[in-house]
Amino acid sequence: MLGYIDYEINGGGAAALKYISAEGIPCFEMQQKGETLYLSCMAERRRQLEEFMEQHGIEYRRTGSRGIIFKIKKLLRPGLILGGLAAAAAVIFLSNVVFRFEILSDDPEIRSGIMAVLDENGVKGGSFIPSLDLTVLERELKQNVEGISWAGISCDGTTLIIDVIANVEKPEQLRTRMPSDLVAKCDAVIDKVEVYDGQLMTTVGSGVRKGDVLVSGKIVTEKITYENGKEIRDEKVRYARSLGKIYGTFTRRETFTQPFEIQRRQPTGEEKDLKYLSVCDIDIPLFFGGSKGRYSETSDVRNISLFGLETPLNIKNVHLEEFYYRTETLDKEQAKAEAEKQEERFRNNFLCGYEIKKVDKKEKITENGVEITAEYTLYGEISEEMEFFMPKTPVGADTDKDNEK
Amino acid sequence: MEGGKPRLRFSGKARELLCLNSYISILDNEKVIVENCKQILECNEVMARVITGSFEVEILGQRLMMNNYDSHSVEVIGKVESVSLSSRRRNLPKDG
Repeated sequence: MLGYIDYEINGGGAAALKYISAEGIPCFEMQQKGETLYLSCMAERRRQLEEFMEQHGIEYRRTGSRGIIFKIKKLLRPGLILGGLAAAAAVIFLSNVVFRFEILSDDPEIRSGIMAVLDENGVKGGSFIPSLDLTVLERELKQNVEGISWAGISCDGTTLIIDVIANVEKPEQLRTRMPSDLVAKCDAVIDKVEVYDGQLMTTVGSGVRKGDVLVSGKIVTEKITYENGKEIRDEKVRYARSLGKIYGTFTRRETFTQPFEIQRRQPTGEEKDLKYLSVCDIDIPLFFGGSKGRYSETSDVRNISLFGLETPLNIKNVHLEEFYYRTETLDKEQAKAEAEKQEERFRNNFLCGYEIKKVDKKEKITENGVEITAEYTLYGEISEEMEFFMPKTPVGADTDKDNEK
Repeated sequence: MEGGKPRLRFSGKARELLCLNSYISILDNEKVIVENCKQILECNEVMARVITGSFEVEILGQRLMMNNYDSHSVEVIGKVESVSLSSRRRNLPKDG
């Protein structure tokens, strides 16, 4: 029973009662008051009753309605229908939007690399899933993310799952089997030699040029014997990985330039706080309009907890400080001081592994700025390892035998 | 036979077997249910009249109201004061 309609029937009440009882139309609260019959008829049968009354010229009037069907009809207003449709459309749309990324790797570098490549390809929180070409994305990941050999992307609801297989590093033993030389990194004078394996090719006090072999991985031994007054040379070749450290003294020249005109970042003093609602990987702005200009930003994220439980909702607060670039003109002393700072930074960063024996600085002032040319006399390790391949063709029978050993 | 059981005719027995008789239930003075109701004649605040197979049932009372269900039964609610039956047939069996 969906509902009832209340009727007020004027005249012909007896005929209506007769019809109701004859047809078995369920009616309730029937009562005649004078010539008027009041009754409630089931909504499903109202049409039948009304047709009868219209056919017989009985006047009637609906005085009310009760029941769930009428309540639903009242609720079905255009606004509610449109709202329902909009909500349904929103649900359908949002179910096809990327909300979260799940990268199946613990390596933070791989994770950041994957997110960077996805971002370059326009995939971010809020991307429409059907518009993503997963095959192309997988190819991009395999080509551009360092440290992975395979990538697979799948969708689980609104989560984009990225599965990767990290590169398997080559076993170190393959590298150690390669013979190597120690060569000079720069022009230098040899001061100290420490050789553990390999054949030393130079002496302390001698000068070497960049690329010269200092310790050779090809070790040639020669044995001379005499038989019946005849000299017999027995030459053997052995390949080794050169181990050792060669120290020397060398010079290095660097030029540091400081122009008189520089651009400095100057804060305007204007600061802003922007709040975002972070749902999984999507940042929904909680403000209107954008920010024009140059800003430096710092952000912090605060989780919204519900009864002590952590929810996927976060409030992200971005603090912006506006700045602009101001052109500043330095005088000679200031420019020189800046150039000195550059030199000091270079020395601390790049020459920290060497002993600085002597520094010669020459200052030159040009139209545009100050140039400081520094010539460092350094002491330190000058050798670096350089691998080489053994020749395929055997040098001699003895050599082969020796190598097999 | 005075004071004996009422003598039932064949037609009366058949009506009973075919469930064509009217069953009238009275619940205190609040409700009267008439089953196998053929027709509703009237229902105002003080009187309700319905026709069953063999009788015309007249219910008197105050604030009477009638509910009609699909199964040929009606329910009269209100303050019931009396229920009277009058035969619709001329040759009803005489008791005794």
